[in-house]
Amino acid sequence: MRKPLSILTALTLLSACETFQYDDRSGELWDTNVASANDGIYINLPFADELIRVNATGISVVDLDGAIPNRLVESPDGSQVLVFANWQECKDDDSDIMYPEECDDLVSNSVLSIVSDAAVTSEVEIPSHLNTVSFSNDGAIAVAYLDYDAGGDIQVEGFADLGEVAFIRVSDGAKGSASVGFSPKQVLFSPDNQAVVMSQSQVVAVDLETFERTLEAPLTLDADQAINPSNAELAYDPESGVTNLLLTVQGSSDLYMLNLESKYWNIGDLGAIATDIGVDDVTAQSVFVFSGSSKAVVLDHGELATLNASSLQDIDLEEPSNKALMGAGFAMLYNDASGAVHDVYKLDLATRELTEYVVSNPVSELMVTDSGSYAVAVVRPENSGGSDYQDSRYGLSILDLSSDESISLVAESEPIGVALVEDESNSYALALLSGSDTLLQVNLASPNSPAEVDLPAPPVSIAAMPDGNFVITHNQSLGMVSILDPATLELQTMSNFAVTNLFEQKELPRTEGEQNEEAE
Amino acid sequence: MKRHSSTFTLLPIGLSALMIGCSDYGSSKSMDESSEGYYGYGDTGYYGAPEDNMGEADSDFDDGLGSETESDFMSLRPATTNAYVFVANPDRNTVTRISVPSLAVLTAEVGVEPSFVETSADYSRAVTFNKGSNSVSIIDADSLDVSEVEIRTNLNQMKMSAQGTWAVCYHDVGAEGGGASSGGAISFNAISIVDLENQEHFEAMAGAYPHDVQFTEDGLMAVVISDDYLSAIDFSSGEPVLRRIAIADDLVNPPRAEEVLLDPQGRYAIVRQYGVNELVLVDFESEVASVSMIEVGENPTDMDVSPDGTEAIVVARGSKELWVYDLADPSLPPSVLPLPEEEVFGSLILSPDSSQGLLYSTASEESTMGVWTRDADDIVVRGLVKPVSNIGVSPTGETAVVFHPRENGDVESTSQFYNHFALSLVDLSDYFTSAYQLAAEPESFASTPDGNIGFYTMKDQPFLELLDYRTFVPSEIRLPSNPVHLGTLPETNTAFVSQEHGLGRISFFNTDEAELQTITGFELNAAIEQ
Repeated sequence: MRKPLSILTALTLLSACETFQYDDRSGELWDTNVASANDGIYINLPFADELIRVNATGISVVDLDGAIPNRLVESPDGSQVLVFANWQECKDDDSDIMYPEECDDLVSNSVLSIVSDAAVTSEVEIPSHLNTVSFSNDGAIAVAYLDYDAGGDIQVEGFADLGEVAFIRVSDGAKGSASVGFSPKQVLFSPDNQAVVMSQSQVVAVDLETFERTLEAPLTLDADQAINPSNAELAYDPESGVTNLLLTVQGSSDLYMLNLESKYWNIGDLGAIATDIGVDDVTAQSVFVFSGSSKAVVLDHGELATLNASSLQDIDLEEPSNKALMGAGFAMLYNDASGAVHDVYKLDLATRELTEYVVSNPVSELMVTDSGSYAVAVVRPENSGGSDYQDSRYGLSILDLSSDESISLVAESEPIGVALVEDESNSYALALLSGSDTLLQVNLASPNSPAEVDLPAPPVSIAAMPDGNFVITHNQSLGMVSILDPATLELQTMSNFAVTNLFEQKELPRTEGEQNEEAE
Repeated sequence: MKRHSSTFTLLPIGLSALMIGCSDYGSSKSMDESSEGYYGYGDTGYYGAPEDNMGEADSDFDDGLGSETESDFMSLRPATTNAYVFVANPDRNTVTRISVPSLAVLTAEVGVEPSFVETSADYSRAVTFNKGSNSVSIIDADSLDVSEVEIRTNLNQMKMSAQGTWAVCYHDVGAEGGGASSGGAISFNAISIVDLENQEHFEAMAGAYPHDVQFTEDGLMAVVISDDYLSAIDFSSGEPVLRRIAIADDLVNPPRAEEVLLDPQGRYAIVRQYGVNELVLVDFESEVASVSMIEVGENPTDMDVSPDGTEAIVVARGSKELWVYDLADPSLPPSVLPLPEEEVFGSLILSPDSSQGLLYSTASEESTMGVWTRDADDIVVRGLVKPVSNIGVSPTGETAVVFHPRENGDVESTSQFYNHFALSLVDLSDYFTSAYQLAAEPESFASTPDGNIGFYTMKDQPFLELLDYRTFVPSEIRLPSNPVHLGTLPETNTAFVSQEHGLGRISFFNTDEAELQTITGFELNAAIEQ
């Protein structure tokens, strides 16, 4: 689908038309889904087909050897950025063909480039349909797979194994792959350096050293039966030292538990279809919530080999929760799907004490501060609109998890980004509102008088950076990002980077033979 | 009366051209009809419907009530060792091994539709009878390595020697699904004999319609019990040698051989036949086995061995007598004890210490039982809430557990137990009785080794029912699904209940911890590839 051309882009291109014989490019000049690395902010320029890094020293163009970046993912430690890209190859060996437009036999090759310090450190071929990336616990291995739920078009060239999962060692680009069956859903990483991949009707484990399959555990003995995992987590029992895979499946109240040491299954009954799992390592318990049942179920990790009456304990709720957000030793239970539910619960997993908070409007998102002192809910207007002023507006609800009190704030517009930050004495919410040139710093202890930070342009998003700062993207066609120091509230803004190499027409970059030579 | 015998040497199946029959099998589960043998404490009764024998034989005496029935609660009984419990899973073609006490569960694939599983006395081997694939699977208990040996078609029962060296498979037409067969020439008396050590199969022909197999203590001899013949199989040469001994005058329409007591040393067997007022004594010690008759009262309906193995006691329902034989020499004149004239008692169960016997009848539909105090040879008759379908005694011998059928017999329609299954506990010291109305038919029953707690399960009821033999206060534990098998783990106060679940489910209940622990989905373990 062609992207709409902004007015400014159109004007810019209009002025450039004389220098190009033909140019059918369209779309935004820059992608606001940026990647924050230790050395700067990496930004995809889809119109210029370039990847740039922006930092205090300026703009650096990353040479992808003619590959066009599609999507960026930063590594967990911020040391590298993974760039999903593709390069075009003309199969017609006529030496006069210089540009893609001149080639009648054009094919696209998909690669994953690993970038650090504005340079490609390694590049691996990767199937184009892999749309989801997970990182191992130490960030050393990236696992790419196709998740149907991730959305977007699935690009298949020739024949493709949609169950293929690619494993890439980030440090050197070494790659392995394994076929894990139909429709991989989720990847988890066990303490013994295994990737545990959930797919339809089976669980597959892959050794992250050798990239060899070490386990294939079916979820059914009936080949005609499809068991689709819905959620999975790893549960560690400190007493036995055993890690269990907890797996819920669509349309069933069954809880599959796989002891990853003995490789034994056990199946429990949650009594309802679970919509979310939360794991708490502090108390070695897990929490299950259900959109269709007003209860939560707490599972003791020490009782998984044989379930008894106390292994699964029901906690009655007044209203159903479909999400569980874990803190240290507690779970926040809320519902982001129902427009009729206003309850947020704090479940103390050590005492099983349940605290009910009633927020003003339905919850869209819930966050907890690192210290566990506060939870902040982004709330949305009531479905019916409501007669009350507050009912029809967005807002923030601040829950004091120590005093069990809550305050609801009405927002002038929709919050488009909220981040939480803490210093030695205070906890803050940094909030961006749609259409507002102001960032609000809300002291969660006294939320009624937030500090305001003027922004150079309306914001689009806010995200934490590896160094503790926040990156704010702005709605500016030519590109604008700001780095916010949450301690000083100082902004460092960089702009107009989206025109980098805008008018440079890309030649066909390389042939398959060159690619192979480089790979060797 | 003397009857002749004949001797045959069997060839391994691989060395002989043998007739292969064709049949198909019903899908229903087989009843395990194992009975305790001579010198093994317990009943040796016939496990079938009483009417099976009605008018069947040329009987000396028939009071019209039919046979007494000794139900075996342990359908598809798991086999236990001191280290493992094996459970056959006929729907999934697997056998499950549960380690004791860790409760670790492993599953091994065996042949098709394993109907039941037996374990050797040394706990090293388990063997499944695979009804659907006409085979037995020999399982190493530790490694779970499985070897499969094909057997004849159209068989539905298996008995294994305690040593786990030989198994005899046969077709019991009285077993559930035992009548089903089709195609080709069908034989109902062909049997399979399996050398479990060498995994070798032999075939032989026993008497017509065999319905039980018993082994001697050393496992070197087995007797296949039919109505017309006893077939003695000698394994001492390393290969089975079979001889058939006629035990009925009328070999075309013989009376049913309802109970057989085989001497543990294999010297003789005593046979009780339906409606025959004599017992058949088969002497195996002579080169040509001899058959003679022993006097007994009218219509003997039950024959039991005392727990110490020294006596055989026969209930003569027709003459209302107990006949007690000295098993050191069964041909010696027995002692005879009269039973109450006004009562009909056809069955007997002795307490573990042999001090008391419980007399009852499953055929009379009368709501009474008799307590026989053996020292005094005194019989006290006690009323019950309903007629009796089965009686058990707690391991300590202090409590009788009486199961009552739904059928009402002589019970008034105003009774709380009318048209209900019921259960009674009877304190055998003072005969205090407590009765319980049941929601459904009890199917399995077991007790803890310490004798304090009894367990039972009922058909399609997801509960493990507990009987406290000391207080008589009942309780129940809800199970995740409907029960299939019930048993107790050796040397523990833990009951296990396997249950209905497509991927396998078993629960454990330890009476000390009073906590139900459940494992589900262990069938998936066999499909895990590493």
